[in-house]
Amino acid sequence: MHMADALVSPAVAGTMYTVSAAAAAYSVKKIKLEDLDSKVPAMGVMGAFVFAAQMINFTIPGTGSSGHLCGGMLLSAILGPCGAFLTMIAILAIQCLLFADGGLLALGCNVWNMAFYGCFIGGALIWRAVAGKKMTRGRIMAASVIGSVVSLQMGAFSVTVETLMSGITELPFAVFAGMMQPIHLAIGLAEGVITASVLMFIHEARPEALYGYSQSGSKGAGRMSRKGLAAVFAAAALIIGSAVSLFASGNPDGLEWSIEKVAGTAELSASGGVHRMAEKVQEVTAALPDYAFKSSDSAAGTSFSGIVGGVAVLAACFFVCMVIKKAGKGKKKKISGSEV
Amino acid sequence: MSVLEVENLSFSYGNPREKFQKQVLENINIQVSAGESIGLIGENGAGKSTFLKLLTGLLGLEAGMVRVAGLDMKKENLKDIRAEIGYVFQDSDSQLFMSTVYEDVAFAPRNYGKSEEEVQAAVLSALKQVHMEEKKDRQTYRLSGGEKKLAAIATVLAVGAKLILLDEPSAALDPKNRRNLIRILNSLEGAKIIASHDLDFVLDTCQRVILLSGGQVAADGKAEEILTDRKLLEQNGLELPLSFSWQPGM
Amino acid sequence: MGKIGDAVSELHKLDMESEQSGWLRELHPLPKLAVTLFFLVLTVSFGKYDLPGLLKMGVYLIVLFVLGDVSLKLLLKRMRAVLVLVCLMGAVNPFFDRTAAFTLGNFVVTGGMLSAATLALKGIYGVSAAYLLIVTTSMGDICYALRRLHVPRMFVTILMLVYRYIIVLLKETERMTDAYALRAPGQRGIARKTWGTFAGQLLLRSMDRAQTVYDSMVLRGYNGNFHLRHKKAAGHSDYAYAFVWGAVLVFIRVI
Repeated sequence: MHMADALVSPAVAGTMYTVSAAAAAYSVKKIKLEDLDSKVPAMGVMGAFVFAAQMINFTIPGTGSSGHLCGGMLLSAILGPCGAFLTMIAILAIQCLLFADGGLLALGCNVWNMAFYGCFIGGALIWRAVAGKKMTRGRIMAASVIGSVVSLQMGAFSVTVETLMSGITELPFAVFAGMMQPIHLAIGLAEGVITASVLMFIHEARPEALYGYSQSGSKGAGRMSRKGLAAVFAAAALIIGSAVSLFASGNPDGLEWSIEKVAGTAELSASGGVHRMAEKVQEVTAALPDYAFKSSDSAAGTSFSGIVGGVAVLAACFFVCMVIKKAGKGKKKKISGSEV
Repeated sequence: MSVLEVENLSFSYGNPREKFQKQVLENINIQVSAGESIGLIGENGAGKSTFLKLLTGLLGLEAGMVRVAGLDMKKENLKDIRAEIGYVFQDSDSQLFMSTVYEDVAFAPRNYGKSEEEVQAAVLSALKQVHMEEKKDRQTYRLSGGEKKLAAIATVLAVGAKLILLDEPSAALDPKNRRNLIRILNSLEGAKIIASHDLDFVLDTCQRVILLSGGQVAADGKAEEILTDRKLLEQNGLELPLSFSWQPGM
Repeated sequence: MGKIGDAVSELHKLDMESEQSGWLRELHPLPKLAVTLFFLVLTVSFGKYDLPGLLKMGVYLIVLFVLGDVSLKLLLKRMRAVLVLVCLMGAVNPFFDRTAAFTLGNFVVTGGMLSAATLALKGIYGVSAAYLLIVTTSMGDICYALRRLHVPRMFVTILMLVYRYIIVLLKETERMTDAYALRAPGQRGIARKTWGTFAGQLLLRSMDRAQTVYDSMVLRGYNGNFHLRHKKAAGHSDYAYAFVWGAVLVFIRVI
């Protein structure tokens, strides 16, 4: 599910941008390290493929509804998790800019919820553990289904946590999660089977196209190092774990504070360059969250006259703009702005 | 002066140690002079595309010698060779991967380290040669099929290639765009090798024709002679160009 | 299967819109991107009851839409998905949050109503701001701005290529789904038996295309570096744009 800007607070958006950027920086570094630069054009074209393929309606037997394929899993199986992750970010960025699927500010959340879990949890951990080197039809099916289900469950849970932490909805946690998880279980199953069908076809038609398909002598075509995987997994586990435990505490203020703490420590376990990058990003974003704006946390602070005032400002602004436009002086855009 | 010399070129697909192996080219010898325009014809699977890929170094040489503009085909010469030889793919969409026509045509000059003024001059001159100056800021995907082909040709002209290889340039063009392409190809100065099944197109653009058959050169000579030789063409799985097929003897 | 065709025509329309001329479109992409993000951050930073403050933020959108000559017609369609999502989320608020904020005659306006309204407004603002950015700034320019922000070249290259090949592959997918539908009348999608082969064929073709794209790059001297056109550096008006909006938006946020 693509989150809209309206569902996130600056703190949540900033945190998720930071962790997503850290994972992206790690991926870029990893790809360079493995000398897979020549795969970059393939990432671009395959990204466009996933974009198009996600528009295909696959009829789910017996339900009358249709499913789509799981981009993160599919791309990971072909480009490897790091390449897949970068490609998924590009897809999500384009979906947000060109098709208004998900917000620009929520992009960090969307990358984390959809690309990170799909590529690193589903595509790296589960794919490697289940499909492994000796890929068979059964293993591909199992890996795809487990991978999609798990990554979608994690993604859905993150959506719930991020929305609630942003203080957007009054929905109690249990109700929200109770709605999100089962829906995404069904979606995950469908996506898993569809993705598996495609991968099984590739496995038959052109097995060498699958990432990490065992060819003797090849240097493991860029498997992720154990340490790298552990770091990525630890980061995910920490963020999710802390979110759950903090919700149990029922203190939303403490929640926001500590999740950032946790996110900060999670990055520590990643390798040096990533950490430096993350720090840099965090420095930039740190100024934003919870900046001391006028407090407006109680409903009583809002009056009817305030709302009328707001509408009046907009009307005046529109009027002034129209006058300026009519006068044919398009350049003087600021006059209206400063009259507020 | 020769822009291309090919001696005893052979090539096969597949691993020599395995059973599956297919000889695609066998003992090819060809010389191309500056400014020459050559039609490369032959039925499907005759080895045309493989031949073109070997000339650009996209496929590695197995046996024989290829020399482009005096440079031997080997790894350290690849960059220089590719500045002398341009490849226009059959599928223009794969060739035009940048967002605008200008950016795409500028891709090669920039990779060759030209300054931005030089790049601009090269791009504008290349676009002028294919009459596409006015479309320079157009998004590539919004070009028509004919325009895409011209833009693709401009991308190889921008580095001043002395030899241009074209793979099925007339495929999927309507008659008007096809005529326009013929006019433009004929106005270009460099040597050209045009691989095509469209023998009328070859007749209109090439003076010389090389007929490949079963991986070997079955004929190499003047276009009018080879393309009117019904027996030779039919033996090699081809048919007379339409412009000749009305002739007596049918 | 009109969905794919819709996406293609949407992309075409956006492109046409961004090719119009006007001062907003000629501005340097970097300040536009920066102001957009700043606007969004400030917008979502408003508390859930602060409807008056949030309303005033609309000044940014009105000024740009009116003075930037940006057409609204593509925007409304883009709004749909977000509004559905936001309304679903917001719809429950009035039931859970019944604290009274103020009364309007006999009608009590509750906190839940206010928070639902701010949520919807934030949704509208978010989509509008992203729309304003994309119809006045081409994807190529956005990529350029990202490079200036030190986003790794590798990622920007991927982004450009995905954008470039979306239309190509959407059209290919549309042809395939059309061909499928013509031979499978009455089916609403791709049947289970052909899931793998259908998308798999498309995938194999895309891989072949990727190889050709790569070949074509290599033949033109590609060595892992993608060069983008150097735009002329940001001028006074670009700085002024960023500075004035920065000041105006902060002013609106704190009053």
